[in-house]
Amino acid sequence: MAEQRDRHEFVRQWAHAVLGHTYVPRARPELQEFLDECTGQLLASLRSEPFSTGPATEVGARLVEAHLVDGRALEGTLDLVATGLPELAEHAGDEVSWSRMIALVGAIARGFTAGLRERTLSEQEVIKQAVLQARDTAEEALRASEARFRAVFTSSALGIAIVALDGTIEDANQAMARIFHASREELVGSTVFDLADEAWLQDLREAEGMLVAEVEEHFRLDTRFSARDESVVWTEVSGSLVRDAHGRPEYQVLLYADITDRRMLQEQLHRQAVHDPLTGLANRTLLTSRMDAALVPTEPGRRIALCYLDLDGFKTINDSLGHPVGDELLRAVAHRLQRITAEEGALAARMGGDEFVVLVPDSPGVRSVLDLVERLLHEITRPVRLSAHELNASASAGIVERAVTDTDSEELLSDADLTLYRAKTEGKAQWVLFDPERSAAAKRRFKLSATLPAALDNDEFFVEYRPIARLDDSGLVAVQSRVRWDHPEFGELGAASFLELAEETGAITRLGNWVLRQACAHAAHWVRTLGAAAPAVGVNLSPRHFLDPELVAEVQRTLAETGLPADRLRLGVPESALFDEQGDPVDTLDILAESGIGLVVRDFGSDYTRLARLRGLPVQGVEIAGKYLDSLAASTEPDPLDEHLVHSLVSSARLLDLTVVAAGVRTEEQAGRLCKMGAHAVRGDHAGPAVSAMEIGMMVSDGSCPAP
Amino acid sequence: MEDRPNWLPKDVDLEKPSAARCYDYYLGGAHNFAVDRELARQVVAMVPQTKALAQDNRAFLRRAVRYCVDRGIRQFLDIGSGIPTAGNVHEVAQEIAPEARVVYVDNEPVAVAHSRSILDGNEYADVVQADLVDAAEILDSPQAKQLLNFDEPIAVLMVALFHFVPDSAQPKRIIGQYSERMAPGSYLGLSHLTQDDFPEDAQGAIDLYANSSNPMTMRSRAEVTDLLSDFELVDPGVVYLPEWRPDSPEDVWEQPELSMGYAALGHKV
Repeated sequence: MAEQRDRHEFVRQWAHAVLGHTYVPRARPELQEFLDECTGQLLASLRSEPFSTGPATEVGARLVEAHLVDGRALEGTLDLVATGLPELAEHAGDEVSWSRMIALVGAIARGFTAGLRERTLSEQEVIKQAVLQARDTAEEALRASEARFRAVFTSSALGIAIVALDGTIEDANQAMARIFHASREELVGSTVFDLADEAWLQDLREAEGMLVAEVEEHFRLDTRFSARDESVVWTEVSGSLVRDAHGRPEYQVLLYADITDRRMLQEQLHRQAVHDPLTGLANRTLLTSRMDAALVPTEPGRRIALCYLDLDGFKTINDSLGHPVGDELLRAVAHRLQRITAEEGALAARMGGDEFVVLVPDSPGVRSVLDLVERLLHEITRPVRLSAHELNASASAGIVERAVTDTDSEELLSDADLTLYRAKTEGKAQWVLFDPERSAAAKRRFKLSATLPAALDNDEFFVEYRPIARLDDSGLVAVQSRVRWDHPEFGELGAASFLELAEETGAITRLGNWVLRQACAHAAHWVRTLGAAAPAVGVNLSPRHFLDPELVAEVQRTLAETGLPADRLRLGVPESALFDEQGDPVDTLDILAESGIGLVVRDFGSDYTRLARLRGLPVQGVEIAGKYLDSLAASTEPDPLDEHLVHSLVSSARLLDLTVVAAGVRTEEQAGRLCKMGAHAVRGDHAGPAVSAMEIGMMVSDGSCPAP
Repeated sequence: MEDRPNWLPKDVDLEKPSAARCYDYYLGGAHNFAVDRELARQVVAMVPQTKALAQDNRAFLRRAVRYCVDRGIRQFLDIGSGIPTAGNVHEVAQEIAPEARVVYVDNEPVAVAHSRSILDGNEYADVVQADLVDAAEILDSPQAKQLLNFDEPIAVLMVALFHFVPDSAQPKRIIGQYSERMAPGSYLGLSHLTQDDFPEDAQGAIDLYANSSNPMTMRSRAEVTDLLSDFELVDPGVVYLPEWRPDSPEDVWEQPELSMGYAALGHKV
C-alpha cells in the first residue's frame, strides 16, 4: 500500500511539474493516468535484465506526443525522475544502480529530443504546406475572379472604361468601341473628356472632379457625344472610384450605357407633338409657343409679323389629281417655305389643309417682311414636278406687322386670316397687308354670317312690304316682301348687308324659306280679312335658294300650311337662274307655274341679247331695275340712250306678253314716262314706303291705298 | 470593403502576424512563422500569463465540448477555429462519440488550408473558409449542409473570437443571426478577453495586435453577459476561464482573474 501511495504521489508531482508550460489536451486525471503508465515503463526499464533504456526513450517520445513539448516539462520530468524514481524503485524492493539511473535519464531526454525535433519539423512542414495550399487556392480564386471580371468586361453591353485619376482611359472594352464608333486602340490613351460634346463637358468635369477628390462616392449623368461619322451618341455615364490597399484613390471605373435610342425616341415624340406629320413643319402648338415668346416685350419697339398663306385652287388639285398628289404638293410647298424661312430666322407652320403661317419674330419692319413674303409667293409659283405632273401652284397671303405691345397671338392670327381672305377675294396670287378699317368691315361681315343662324332662331329678322302700284290707276296690285335684321349689336340692317353673306354661306336657304313662310302667312291673313281686295305677295328667291332641290316641296308645303292661294304668290327669280348649264330652262319653273304661282323674272334685260330665250317660259312678268331708270326721273329731257333702253325692254316684255314692273321709281315724272312706254306697275317711293304686314292690311281696308 | 464581391479571394499575407498562428505558438505548437513568434513574444513579455490563458482558453473549449457531448450533442460548429496543434474539437468529441460531426470555420486562408490537411480523410469533419459576420454563408455552406442538421440541437463554439469583432460590427446582432437558426436545446460556447482587471496589460496587448491582421476589442463581464442574453447560462455563468467547471480543483488558479478571459456556455431553451 505504501508503494502504491508513493507511486501515486510521484505521478501527482510529475503532473504538477509538466503542466502549465504547454497546452495538454487532456484533463488532469487523464494526464496522471498517462504519467502513471509512463512511470510503469520507467520502472520496467530500470529493472530490466539485461538492462534496456528502450522503454525510457519511448517515455520521452510519449511526452512529446502528449504535447508536453516545452523544455521545462522535460526539465521537471528529469528532475523528478532523478530524485524520486530510485526511491520509488527501492520501495518496490529493487536495487537501483547509479549508472542505470544516469542511462535512464539520458534515454528519456534522447527520446524527448528526437520526438520534439520530429514533431517540430513535421509541424513546420504542415504549416508551410498549408501556406502553399492557401496560396494556390487564393491564386486559383484570383484567376477565377479575374476571369469573371474579364468575362464581365468583354461581354458586357455596357461600355466599361478603366480611367486614370486624370481622366486618361487606360482600358476600354469592346462595348465602348461600339458605343463611341471608335476602335479600342483609339479610345485607350484618349480621355473621357474626349467622349462628351462641349456643352456637356462642364458637368462631366465637375462630377469627375468630385469623385477623384473623394467628395462623392459615385456620379451619374447623361452626356452627348458627336462621333466622327457625325452620328450623335447619348450615354448615361456612371463613375466610381477604386482605392488601393491603403485607401487612396487609385483609378476610376466609368460605365457607359448607350441611351441614344431612348433619347432619340424622346426627341422624336417631342417633335411629333409640335410638328405636322405630313410636312414636318411646326404645328399650331409650336407656332403658338413661338408666338408667345416673340410677343414678350423684351426690348422697347419690338415688333412681330405674321403671314397667313393659302394655296390658290388647292381643292381643285385634290379633286382632280387625287389626295396623294395634293399631299405631295403640300410637302413641296412646305419644303420651300421651310428653306426660306430658316434662312430668315422665321418659322413656317402648317395650320391644316393648305393653310400655312409664317412667323417673323423681331420683325425689322413692314418692308422687309413684304420682301420675305414676295420671295415666298414667288418660290411657291415655281413649277412643282410631281411624278407624272408638273403643277403651277400659287398662293395668297395676308400679312400683319405691328409692335408686340399692341397685340396678342389670337388677334394676330385672326387679323392675318381676315387679311388673307381679302387677298383671296380680291384676286388671289397676291399679298395683302392688314388694313384696320377694312378689317373691321370684314370682321363685321364675318360676325354677321357667323351669327345669322342663331339670329333666325332668336326671331331677330322681320319682313316688311313695299307696295307695287298700277300705273294707269295707281291701284295696289301686289306688295313686295323684303327681309330686315334687327341686330342686337349693329341695329336694324337691310337685306343688302347680309343676304349676300347668307348666299355665300348657304344660310340663304333657311333664311329664304323663313321669309317665304312669313310672307305667305301674312298674305293669307290679308286674303282672309280683305277678301278680293287683298294684294298678292312677291317674294324674291336668291339663285342658290331657287336651285335648292327642296324648294318646290317647301313652297307647296308653305302654301298648304298657311292657306294662301297659289295665285296670290309671286316668286321673283333672277334671270340667270332660269336656265341650267346647258342653257335649258329648269324644271322648277314648270312645276311652280303649273301649281298657279306667278313667276317674275328679276333683273330683266341684264343680258339683252338673250331676251328671246324667255319666249315660251311659264313666267307672268318681269321686273326692270337699274341706273337707266334714274334718268327718267329728270325733269328735263331724259338721256336718249337710257330712254331707248327702257323703251326696248318694256316693248320686248310686252311682245313676250309679260307684265312689266319697274323698281326704284321715285317720282311722278318717272312713273309718267314709264306709263307712256307701256310699263304696267311701279315699285319705289312713288308707290309708297315699306310698311309692316299689319299696315298693309290697314292701308287696304281704310282706302288710303287704292284697291286693285 | 462592404462592396467587395465575395468571389475575390482573401490575400495570403505572411508579412503580417496572424492571431491563429500566434495562438498555436502560445499553446506550444510549431505551426507558426518568425513574424508570428515575434508578436507572440512581445505579448508574452508584456502579459506574462498569455501562454497560460491561451492554454486555459483551450482547456475551456475542451471542457465545453465534453459537457455538450455528455448531454447528447453530436454536432459542432467551431467558428474561428484557427490552427491549434492539439485538442481540436473533433478529436475531443469523436474520442467519446466517434459519430460526432464538426464543421470548422476560419477566415484565414492558411488556417483553413491547415485544417483541411488535418481533416483529410475524416468524413465527419470539414472546414469552411468564411467570416463570422457572413452567417448565412457559413450556415448555408455545402459543408454545413452535408454535416449539420439545424433542426437538431447543435453546439456553436465562438471561443476567443469576439474580441476580434469591433462594436461597429454589431456583435450581438451577429450572434442573433446564428441563434435564430439553432434548434432548442443547442449550446453556444463563448470565451472573451477582458480588461476588467488589468487594463494596462490588456491595453498593451490591444496595441500590439492593432497592426496585426486581427485588431482586438476587449469587453467587460457585463458586455459579455449581454452578448449571451438570448441564452440561458449554464452554471456557473460568465466566469474567468479556469473557473468554468474545472476538471480538478488544482486547475483553478489562485487568482483566476489573471486569466484575463471570461468563459460561458449558453443554452438555448
